[in-house]
Amino acid sequence: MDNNGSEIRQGFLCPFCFRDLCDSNALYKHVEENHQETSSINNDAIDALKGAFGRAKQKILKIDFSTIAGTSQSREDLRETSPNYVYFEEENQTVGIHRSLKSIYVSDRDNCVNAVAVDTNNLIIRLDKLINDCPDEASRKDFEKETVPWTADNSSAYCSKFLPFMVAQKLTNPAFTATEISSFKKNSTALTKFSDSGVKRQTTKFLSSFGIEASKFGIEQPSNPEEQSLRVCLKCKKLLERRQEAMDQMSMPSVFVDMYEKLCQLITQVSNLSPSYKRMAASLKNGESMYTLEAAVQLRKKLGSLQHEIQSLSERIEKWGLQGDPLAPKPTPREIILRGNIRYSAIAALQETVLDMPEIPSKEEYQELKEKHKEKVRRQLEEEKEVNGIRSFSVISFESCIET
Amino acid sequence: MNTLIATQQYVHEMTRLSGPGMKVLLMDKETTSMVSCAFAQSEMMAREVYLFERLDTGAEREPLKFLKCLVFVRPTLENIQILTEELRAPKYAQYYLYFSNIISKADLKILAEADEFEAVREVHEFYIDAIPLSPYLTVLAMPLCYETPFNLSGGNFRRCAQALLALALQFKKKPAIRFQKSSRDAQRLADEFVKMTVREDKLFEACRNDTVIVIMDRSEDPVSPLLNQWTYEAMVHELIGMNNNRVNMTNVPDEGIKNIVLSAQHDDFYAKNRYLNFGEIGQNIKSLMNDYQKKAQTHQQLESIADMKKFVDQYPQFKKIAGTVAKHVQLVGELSRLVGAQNLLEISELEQTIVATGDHSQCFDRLKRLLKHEKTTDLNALRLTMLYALRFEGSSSNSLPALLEILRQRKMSIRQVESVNTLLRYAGARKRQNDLFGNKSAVEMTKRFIKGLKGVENVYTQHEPYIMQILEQLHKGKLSEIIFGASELNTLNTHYDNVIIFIIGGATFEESTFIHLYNERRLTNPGLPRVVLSSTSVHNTKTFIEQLIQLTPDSQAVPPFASIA
Repeated sequence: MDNNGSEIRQGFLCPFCFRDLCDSNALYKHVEENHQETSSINNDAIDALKGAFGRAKQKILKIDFSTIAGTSQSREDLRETSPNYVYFEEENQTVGIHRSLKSIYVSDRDNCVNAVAVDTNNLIIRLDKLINDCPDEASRKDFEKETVPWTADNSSAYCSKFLPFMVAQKLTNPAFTATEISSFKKNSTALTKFSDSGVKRQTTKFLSSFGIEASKFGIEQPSNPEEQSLRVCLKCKKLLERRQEAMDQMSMPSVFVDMYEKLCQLITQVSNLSPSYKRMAASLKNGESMYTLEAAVQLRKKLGSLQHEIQSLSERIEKWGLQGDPLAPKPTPREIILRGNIRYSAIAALQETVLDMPEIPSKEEYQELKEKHKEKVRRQLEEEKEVNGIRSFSVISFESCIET
Repeated sequence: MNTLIATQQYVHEMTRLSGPGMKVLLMDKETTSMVSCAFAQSEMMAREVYLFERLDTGAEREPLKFLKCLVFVRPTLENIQILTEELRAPKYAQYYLYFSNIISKADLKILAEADEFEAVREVHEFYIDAIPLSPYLTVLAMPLCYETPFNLSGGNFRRCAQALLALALQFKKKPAIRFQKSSRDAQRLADEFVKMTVREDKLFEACRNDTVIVIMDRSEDPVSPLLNQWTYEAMVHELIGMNNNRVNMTNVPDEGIKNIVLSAQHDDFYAKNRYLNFGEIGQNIKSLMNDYQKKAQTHQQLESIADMKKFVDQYPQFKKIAGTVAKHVQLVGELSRLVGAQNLLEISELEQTIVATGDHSQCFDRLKRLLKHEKTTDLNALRLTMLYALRFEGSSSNSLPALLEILRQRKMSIRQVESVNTLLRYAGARKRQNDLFGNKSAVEMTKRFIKGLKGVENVYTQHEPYIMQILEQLHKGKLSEIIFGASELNTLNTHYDNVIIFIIGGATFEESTFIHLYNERRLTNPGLPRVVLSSTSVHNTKTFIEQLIQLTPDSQAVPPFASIA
């Protein structure tokens, strides 16, 4: 580099061996390769380096650096070279490792939950026997004793509490046959009454499977002696309630859920039809006759009506139960948020698919466009013919040249 | 290796497994952060998740029997307990249990026994156990992770190990490990990780061997969290504070949005400007505002129905842009104000000079002047003193006690002033293994010399964090065995396609910026590895100093700092 010929040497000199390396990158590589070991251990060398750099810096800083070209590795340059700031994925990243523990879980659950199912079913069967097959008052006690063995007072550890259990309200039972179920249902009209011919009109003080004599406990009679009721202990009550809830859930169709499913269907329909409509409109604008104008108009009408339906349905879902409708239960605060979100989501889906529906040309416009398109096609064909003609002409002339 | 995409794919799988129907997503505190950083609520609603609840707040949830419940929680004892109570009295129709890490067989049994209603339809493990702040940055929520003296507490250690395991599994890798030998926690983490891979070898069967995890401690580079930042994301975090991509503007004197969400997936401007310098951001905001004004003006000339229709059609887009413009104008305005009010240009220049050139006489006088300047806040005063303490620790002209005295005169608390000594105990030259300031080895010195000669384009962005050195050495297969041990000795010089860096003690957005740009270089240089950065939290200077203060003993009888001659 700049060597002005005096005793003092300048330039990109290695401080260890004083070789002139002419370039910053070369200097760096040289030191790294050749002087790595010596410099990292030897403190004297480092001090010498510091001194040498200090002196060199003074001199070099006076040199004009515009002539030195180097590849700058600064951040700014890096950014300029990379084409965009979007996060790129060069290879397809697939879902990471995950595993299902369902089989282990279900086998654990079956072990203990089965016990509960068995108990519940036993209970149901006993109740069934005691209610349906119950003979008249006199032999009731014997019958009860027969069906369910009664244990002595003290030995029962379970039934410390019991509550009146209104049979009509609670009991449905898969163990019964269909006819028995219907007769039960007839009986269970109102909430607490237990009426009708199927069962004798007696108060049945019936204690549960771990039976204890009621009188010994001094239980009060039910207020209405007309009512038939059974008394069960807390544990069995829970089992029976649980069963009832499960049955309720399975059989009860919710209007709300139906509305929601309908909404989902409508949205799927719209998102399926919308791209074909856009294609149609684009082709018609070009004057092509792949699709007819009427078909496009029809499709547009359909999309419009779907849009209206979605909007009104989502509004209904949001306001369901808020207007004192007797069929609809009043929504809880979280439910209100839920419905608001459903409506928001429906509107967002609409915006994505339907909002920028392109225009279809009117009949006259379409005629004009068709004409223009035909013209274009004709012109293209003619141009091609010309080109082909020239080519074939040149082939002929070439051949003719060869022959001669 | 993109953590955002991995999280999104897992959550998509979760919703897919549960089939059609209205769903509610039940999460705990940590998984809520994970999901909210990866998705906007509207995206979740598009997948039929219409309600978002927390499992662990103890709030009473109403029963909604027509909903399917997706439970996505960490498999901790507390969560399991709450879940068992829930299953005994289920509020929803069906439950799909998804755990963010491995759940023990015993816990699974407890859940199974509580599931009397048989409400659970699926139990699954999806391995996301850290918050994905950007495609290449994933953190835990552990800003104060150390217990005295500078070791991870037991619970935090376990949490870190679990996060590492999840990270490996989500990218389907069975990595080798390089750990910083001088950090006991790094060594223990490496051992624990290897044990876990052995225990769960079935999970790792389908995993590839092309990755290395480098575990290091924050103390190897205490400089990065102490510097003022000038790229958008880092600056916002440094000057205002960001938590899980949310900026809390309640302390800002201006009127405006109080809670700003910065999400690159949904905000074009942020995506383009996240890693750009303040100057460039200013220009881009100006052009954004010009665009917006132009559009706004055209909308005032609604003459025909066609015009009106166009306006209505484009109104949502317009509104979106308006929202974005308002948000960024507010943010950049506040940043500008703070830069002026705290005299940050001068302070940052001094910081960079201290770190880059290390000319003591130059720095010392300016430092003293700035410490006494009325615009310098306590935080900046501490920051400068700490940088000085680190840089000139071994220098013969070190005059730290004089500076500490000036700090005391500023009426700073004793613990704050003492935290400078804590920093030196934590990350001083005695503890560091590396050549942080480029003054130990000839190679580094030469580099600095050349840099000094070439001049710097931007005096505020001279600093390059230490992890870049590690990456370079790793790429050349020359990562020092003396400093970084290996879990398997034959992997010392292997070249890896993918690198995961885990920093115990917090990463910084400066490091995240560098990692992002390094990954971008792969577009033009495909030989470079992919890098993901992971840590216990993302520090700014405030949280870093808070951690130091917390580790500073309270007693008055702390011996004064003795200079290392």
